[in-house]
Amino acid sequence: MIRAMVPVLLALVVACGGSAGKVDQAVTIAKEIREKPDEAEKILGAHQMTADQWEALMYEIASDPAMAEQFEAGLQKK
Amino acid sequence: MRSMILHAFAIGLVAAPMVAHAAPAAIEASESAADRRTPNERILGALTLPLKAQALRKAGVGEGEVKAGLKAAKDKKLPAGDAAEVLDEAAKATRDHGPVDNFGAFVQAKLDAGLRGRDLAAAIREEHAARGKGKGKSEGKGPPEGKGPEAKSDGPPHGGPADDKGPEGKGPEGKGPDGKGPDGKGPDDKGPPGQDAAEGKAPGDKGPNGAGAAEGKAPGDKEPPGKAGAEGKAPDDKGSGNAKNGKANEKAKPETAGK
Repeated sequence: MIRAMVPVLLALVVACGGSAGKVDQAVTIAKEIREKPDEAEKILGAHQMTADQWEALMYEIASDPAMAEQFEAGLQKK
Repeated sequence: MRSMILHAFAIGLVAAPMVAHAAPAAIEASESAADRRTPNERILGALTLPLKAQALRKAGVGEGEVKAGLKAAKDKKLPAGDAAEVLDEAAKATRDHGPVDNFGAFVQAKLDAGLRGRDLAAAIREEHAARGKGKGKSEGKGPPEGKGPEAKSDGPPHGGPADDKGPEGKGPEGKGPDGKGPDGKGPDDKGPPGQDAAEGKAPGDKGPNGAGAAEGKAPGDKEPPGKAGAEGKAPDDKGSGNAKNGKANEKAKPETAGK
């Protein structure tokens, strides 16, 4: 029973870690963009991201209440 | 004659492609507005999308509706910044008028109809104004009672605010903080002009002066005689003026006082 649960738990951990990682990355980028709005495109480039990918990430975060909350909280932190 | 025909033919050849291009250009005009944004503006606009989605959730829109609206916007390839503006407008409208059913489906329909940007935002606001399950309906957020009757017709049908008002419960047309109506006071106003209106009392208020009673007392109101509503407003006929300061809740509940 425990053995059967291990893959499931691992998958959950990976999934949670994945979304948290995405949000963390988004928060990092967003803070940089807010500091230097005129260099938004350059900042995205430095993070190997295009504007389309950034928009897709924003859509993904916005659609998930937990991620959106985490994103909002992350931006409020100094 | 022959040269005229040739000229006409030549003009037709030149003009035909121009006419053919005119219609698509008009159709694409609204879509190109988003394209005119610089990449930096696009990126900055997108940044606010999760924040606006959260604001919409906090305003009281169900998770399913938020997701449906976002999905519709994404499916239509609406720039994230534009979607953020739509959600922002929806959040404001929800706070003012209450949520509407099938918000996601409504957004989908409007996007299908080709609405974008300000047109879409305006449609959302109108939808909330018309069909929002207005908070004002159940919380006694009535209009300034000191108003003249003609001002009442300006309010949205559900009793929510017509537009953003000041924090002091001003009337829909930005009347002064003394709560006077467009004419200063309503035709039947007795007592200090519009005093209750400034404080946001609901129609059922039993104020000592009866000020602001002109707009419809229900039969059970304990106002001085002769001050009953000139317009026979229903007890739930509230308006907008006090949605911001919330004094209506403190001072009078129309459900109990206005019947």
